[in-house]
Amino acid sequence: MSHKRRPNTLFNMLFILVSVGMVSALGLSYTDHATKSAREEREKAKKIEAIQKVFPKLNGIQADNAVYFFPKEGGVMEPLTIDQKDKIDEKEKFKVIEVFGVKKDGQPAGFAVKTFTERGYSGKITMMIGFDAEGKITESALLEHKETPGLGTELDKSTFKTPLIGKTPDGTFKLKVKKDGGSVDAITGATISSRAFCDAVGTAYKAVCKQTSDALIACKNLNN
Amino acid sequence: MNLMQFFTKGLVKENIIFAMVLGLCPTLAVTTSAKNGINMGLAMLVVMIGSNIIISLIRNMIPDKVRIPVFIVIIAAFTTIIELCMKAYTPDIYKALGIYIPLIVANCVPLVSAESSAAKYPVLPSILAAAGTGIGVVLAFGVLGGVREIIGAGTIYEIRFLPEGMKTIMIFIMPPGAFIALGLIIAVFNKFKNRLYGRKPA
Repeated sequence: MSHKRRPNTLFNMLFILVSVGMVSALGLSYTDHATKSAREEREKAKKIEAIQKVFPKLNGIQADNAVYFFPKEGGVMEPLTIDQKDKIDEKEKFKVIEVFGVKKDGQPAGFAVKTFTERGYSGKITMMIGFDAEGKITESALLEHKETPGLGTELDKSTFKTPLIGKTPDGTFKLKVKKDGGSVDAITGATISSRAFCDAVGTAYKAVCKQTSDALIACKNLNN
Repeated sequence: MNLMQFFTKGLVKENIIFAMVLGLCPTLAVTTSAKNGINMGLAMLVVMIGSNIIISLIRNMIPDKVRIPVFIVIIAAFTTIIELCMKAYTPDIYKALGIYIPLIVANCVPLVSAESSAAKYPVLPSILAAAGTGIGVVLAFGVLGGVREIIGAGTIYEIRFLPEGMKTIMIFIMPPGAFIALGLIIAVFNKFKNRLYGRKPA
């Protein structure tokens, strides 16, 4: 097999590196642009799907428009208008908490909250969590994350989630992993991911409490 | 080497995980269950075929000294383009395979396939080499993931077959257990390979 390869001159090397780099960059930015609207549509559909998913026992729920919050210093929730939300930097967008009031047959059934944590094993995790009208956990669904398949991804499995359904921080149930003195059974080998989950749920509670002016039992017990 | 050999050598004789023992980091990380392993293997198969095609097409234009950075840029860009398209157009497949795709960029397996096949041979042999290596990876990950899942979690392809509550050897889900399982599997695999191809002097 004869290799009529270009010789290793400085020019050749620079030329090929720059060309490959440029073509790759062009290909990537083109693909990013061309798929942007399709990807955003998927995100929207995923969100509606996720809201329904966190209320598995109620078919045909209605979700109110989202109320937006942004976490400030000390975990204080600041409400945002839609305009303020749109102005948030791309890099910080994942921190916007969205609270959806959920109704079934016109009656308030609880809340679906798109929440986040930065304490995942591989960085940020966004997820949807459902609370019933009393603030008890109904279900959760991971949205975006980079957790390790088989470890952090177990956060979406029933083995982890089932013990949490119907619970709310009410003094007896503490929203921390057992290792930290709480009531949550962490995933074996994925303590960090499990802690991150608790952090995200706590954040969700804080937003709902801000919206309902501490109407839930959980609101008095969040720091226990 | 005749054409079919490009494909078959990646399956057993030069199986990149069990015989060449390359790319161990992601191997140990994703083979926590048969399903995770096989999905990751499939994602790698697609990436390898695609990047091998591109690299093979321009192989004679790449000066020898800069081949590694060029291959890596092509593989990484290709991987990311695949990920973006999957996110946009095939959300169901993306749900299953999507999280594994960025792991492929940090994996040396596509690079090895590019180095040894795509850089030297025309497109068709390069595709066959990528396919053979990729399927070898799927098999390897499937076996390793399956063994770890059976012993460590009592399920196979997420179907529980051990009675509920029966204790499993948890360590097999974690990295130390992955090493143990891999070592034992390689021992068995070598026996099988030697029977198939005859022992080569070391």
